[in-house]
Order: sequence, then structure tokens, then C-alpha cells
Amino acid sequence: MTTQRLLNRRGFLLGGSAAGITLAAGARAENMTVLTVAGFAGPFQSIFRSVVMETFERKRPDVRVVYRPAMNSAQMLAMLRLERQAPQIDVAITDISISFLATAENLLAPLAPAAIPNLAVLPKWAQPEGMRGVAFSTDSLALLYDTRGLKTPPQSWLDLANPDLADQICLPVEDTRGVVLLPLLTRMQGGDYRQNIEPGLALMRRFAPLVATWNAQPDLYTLLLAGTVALGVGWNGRGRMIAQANPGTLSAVIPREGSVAQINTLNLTARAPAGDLAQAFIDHALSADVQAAFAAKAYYGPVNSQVILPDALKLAISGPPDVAAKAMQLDWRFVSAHYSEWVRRIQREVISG
Amino acid sequence: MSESMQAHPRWLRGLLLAPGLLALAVTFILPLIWLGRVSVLPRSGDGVSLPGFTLQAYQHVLGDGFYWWVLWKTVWLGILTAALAVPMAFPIALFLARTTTRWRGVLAALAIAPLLTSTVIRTYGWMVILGRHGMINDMLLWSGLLTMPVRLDNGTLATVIALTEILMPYAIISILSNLGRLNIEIEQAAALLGATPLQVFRRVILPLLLPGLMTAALLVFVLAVSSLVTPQLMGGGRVFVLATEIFNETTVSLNWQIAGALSILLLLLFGGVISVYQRILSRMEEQF
Repeated sequence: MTTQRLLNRRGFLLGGSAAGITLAAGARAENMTVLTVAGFAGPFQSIFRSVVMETFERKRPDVRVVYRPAMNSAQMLAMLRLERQAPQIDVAITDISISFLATAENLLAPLAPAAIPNLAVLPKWAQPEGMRGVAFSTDSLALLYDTRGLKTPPQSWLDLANPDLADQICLPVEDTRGVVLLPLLTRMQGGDYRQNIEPGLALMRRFAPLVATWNAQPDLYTLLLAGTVALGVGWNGRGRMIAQANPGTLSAVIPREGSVAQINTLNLTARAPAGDLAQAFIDHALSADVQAAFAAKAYYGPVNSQVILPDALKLAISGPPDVAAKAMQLDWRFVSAHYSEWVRRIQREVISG
Repeated sequence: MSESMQAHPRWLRGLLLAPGLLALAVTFILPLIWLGRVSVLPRSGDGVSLPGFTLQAYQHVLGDGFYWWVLWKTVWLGILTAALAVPMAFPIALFLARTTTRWRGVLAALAIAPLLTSTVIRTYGWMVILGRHGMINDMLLWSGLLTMPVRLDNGTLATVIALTEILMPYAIISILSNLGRLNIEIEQAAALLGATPLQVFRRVILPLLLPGLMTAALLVFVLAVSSLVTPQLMGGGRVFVLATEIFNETTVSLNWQIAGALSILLLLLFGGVISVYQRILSRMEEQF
């Protein structure tokens, strides 16, 4: 979730911190313990609040959980850096690449398996080496399209090269979307991103002449809703949340070549003011019930392997079984280390090339 | 320093200057120092800022042809916008200065009223007008001049159109404030001596107003090269200017060193341009 919503970034920040301060002040007056969680703004925030935070507060009536919204992970990293000496945030929800970076910068504390029993039921990829945070949910890269403008749904990533859609395609690849699309396109060309991403870049260059905009403002979903573009690359879960709120406008497809997932992580801040409580909160967020409820509402894939999703939901989150089987697992440590280099190459060799 | 200034005791002057200096220090100088410090911090392989001092970010920026290309694009956008906005603002300002209608105040207010609306909203207005399903495309399709919509938005053309309109009010104000120096009697004298209206304009009005026009052009240029929102919204990701680069380095690539170095270089460069420009301007003023 790295959409740069330039327009209301400041408003969100101000509003968010004002709300946070007011809530925190109110809670202190009632002698409650406050737990501060920083995470993405928008639909993620409202679903996270109702599914994770409110259920935790019911379990722990002495605790009040406050949410500090940030427009993207980069902003979250900036908040963590600025508060290094006196952290205010207990738990930060970030993209996985930021969790690696924050770990390397010593902004995060390690999680204690004793305090978070649910860590034991997570797959190995949820806690990769070199990252102190833990995966919370996944969202796959998908093709999003305007159901009113496109009569036949897209099926393949190569539909981005369909000349009939000239000037109707939005390809916002100057962020995480591009960074995960590149290994996928490289695989489609028979290459391996760990050795060479040139095949992926070459394929992306083939899409370039048809692109109307590389920079979805305010975001891809709004452009599709407005009918400004007909097809774009975005996040499956996010797209479905928005499609649900606006029936008959847009839809998401996981292409037949398979997809690649972005991972949202939960991170314990180093010297977090409410450290032990924060670990209890993380454990709660990873529990099977919460994970299942979050998946059902947000269409984000769960990490807890005990969660069994209904077939329809599974289809919505990861596509039909044969497509889901082609999902690509990224070496995130490698990808995080190459993140800015790849963004730079996309910018120079695809967009301005 | 004028005599009236020296008549005041030193402490009083200091006291009067203090609030302004303090505000400048807090809102401008301190952040600038912080920015400068960020730009010289070493950076590890995984992107972590380390304590210490290095000029690597500057070497990287100055040694990279891409940034020079972006710089050229930025300057070009500024020049183009100034070259369009000032000639368009000039007749409006001249009319406002010369008109004798009692609606003059209202008209002047109307000319600068766009400034009351945020740049973001005006930029969105242009997106509606220039978009694929926007007013212009719809009209051209309806009239049969086009069979397919053309791309007017998402590019340099759209950015220049929007910036020109958005920055024109600044040019109008700037020119208007300079029109005071234009004495109508000089023009009348020139006309009496047989000059045609075109000659009056070319030989009298224009030279007298040149410093004012140049100030307006400088203002528009500076505002255009430092604009972020309009290139971001109208450029479709294809318009590379230093402001968008700094924004990307800060929020996407998370390379604050490069972002800091770019900001400092931008400041130095345009500071230099402005001081040279000012010197030329003051020399011109001395001539008249």
C-alpha cells in the first residue's frame, strides 16, 4: 500500500495525530493503558479497527488502542526515525520491505515467542531472517479494470500490451507495484530476478507506449471509478474492498500467469512505551479468528496456517487453484535490498526511456 | 543605510527585527541545516543512514546524467511557463491599470481571484477539461473533427497549460505594481511628436516596463520550477522535474541523502540564477 496520496496526506497526518492525542488524553484521564498502532489510512484502517482493535479492547477492557494513520510505509518509517529517542508508537504496520529497513536501522525490537504463542503456527516465510517484524496479511498484485468499459475481463499480464487499450492503461510502477511486478515479468520471460531483471524491464517497455499515466493520482481505483482509464495494475484486496463499496464499476483479476503478493507486517517498536501489551496485541492479531475475520472483510490473505477460508473467499483472494499455484514467492530480503535500484531503473529505462 | 534607520538606537532595531528573525530561523534556517546534515550522512548498503560525514550523495547526483537531464527539464518547464504566462498577463494588467470603469476594483479582484482556490483544485479543473473524456475531447468528438479522443492530459503539454494558468495571477499582480511608474503623459508626448501607437508601445511603454516584466517572469519561473503538485497531477508520471524527483527519493526510494543533496543543489543553483538576474535587473533600472 504505497499509494502516494499527495492531496490529503497533510490532512490525514494532522487529523490523525489530533485524533490520536485526543483519544490518548481521554484514555489517560480514565486511567487506562494506551496502546498506539500506526498503520495505513483508508479502508485498511476502518477494517483493522473493527476486526483487530475493537476485539482486543473487548478482551482487555483496561486497554485503549489508538490508531495513527499514515499514507504509506515510507511515512511510517519517517515517523519511527523521528521518534527514535522517545517512541510514541508501540506497533507499526508496514510493507515488508520497510520492516527489513527498520530492522537494519535498529528501530524495531525482536518478538518474544513466549509472549506471542501464535508465532509457532505461522509458516516460515512470515518471519524471514533479517526481519524483526512478522507478516500479518498478504495482498496480491492484480489487474484491475473498469467493468463498464471492458466487456471481456483481462486474463493475462500481456493484456497490458493490447493495442485496443492504448491510452486507457494506468501503470503505477514507480513503487512496490513495480518492484514486485518486475520479478514476475522476468519469470514470464523465463528469467530469474536474482540474476537479471532485464527481461522484466524489456517486457515492461513493451507496455509503455499504451500507458496513459504512470502516476495514478489520486489513486488507480479512483481513475477506474471515474472511467479515466480502463485497465491498471493494483492490489487485489484493496480493489475488491473498493469494488464492494461501488458495485458494478470495477473488478480485480489475478492473471493466469500467477501473481506475487505484497506482505503487510506487524512490528514492535524498539523501547515501545507499552511493550508487553504490544506483544499481546500482535498475538491477538495473528490468532486464527482475527485472521479469518480480517480476510473475509478485507480480502487480504491470512498468514496463520490454521485459518481455513471458504472456497469463494479463497477464489477472491488468490484466484482459481491453478492460478493460485503459480503464485510467486519472493526473497524479500533480496528484493528490499534492490528496491530503490529497481524503482530507479523502471523510471529511467521504462518511463523516461 | 538611510539616516532615518540610524536615528533609531541599535537595541530598538534589534528588538524589532527579532520576531522576524526568530520565525525565519525556526521555519527556514533550522530545517535547512537539518536538510544539509541529512545530505552528508553516509549510507550503508541496505539503505541505513550512518553517523559520519560524506559527500557521496553530491558526487552521485552530479555524476549522474539523469539528474542533469531532469534539471534541464525543470529549467525548460520554468522558462516555457514564464514565456507564456507573462505575455498573457501583460495586456490584462495594462487594461486593469488603464481602465476607467467603476468596475475596475471588481475586475482586478477577479483577475487574482484564482489565488483564493487551492492549486490542487485548479489542477483538478484542468484534468476535467483536458482529460480523455474531458470537455475539449468531447467537443472535438462531437463536432466530428476527431474520431478517437487524443491525449491532452498526462504529459508536458498539460503541465505547462495548467502551470501557466495557475501562475498567471502572480504575473498580473507583479506587472500591475510596476505599471505605476508608467506616466501616461510620456506616451501622450510621444504621440504628439508623431509616434504611431505601435511605436509608442515598442519604444516607450515596453522599455519602461521591461524591469517589471522581468520581475514577473522571474516570479513565475521560480514558482514553476519549484512546483510539485501540478507536475505530479498533470504529468502522468512522465514529467520529470527536480521537485518530483526529490519527492520520489524521499517517499519511494527512501534515499534521504540524495533527496537532501538534490534540495541543496536546487537551492544553490536557483539562488545563483536569482542573484545574477537581480543584478541584471538593477543595472537595467539604473539605465531608466
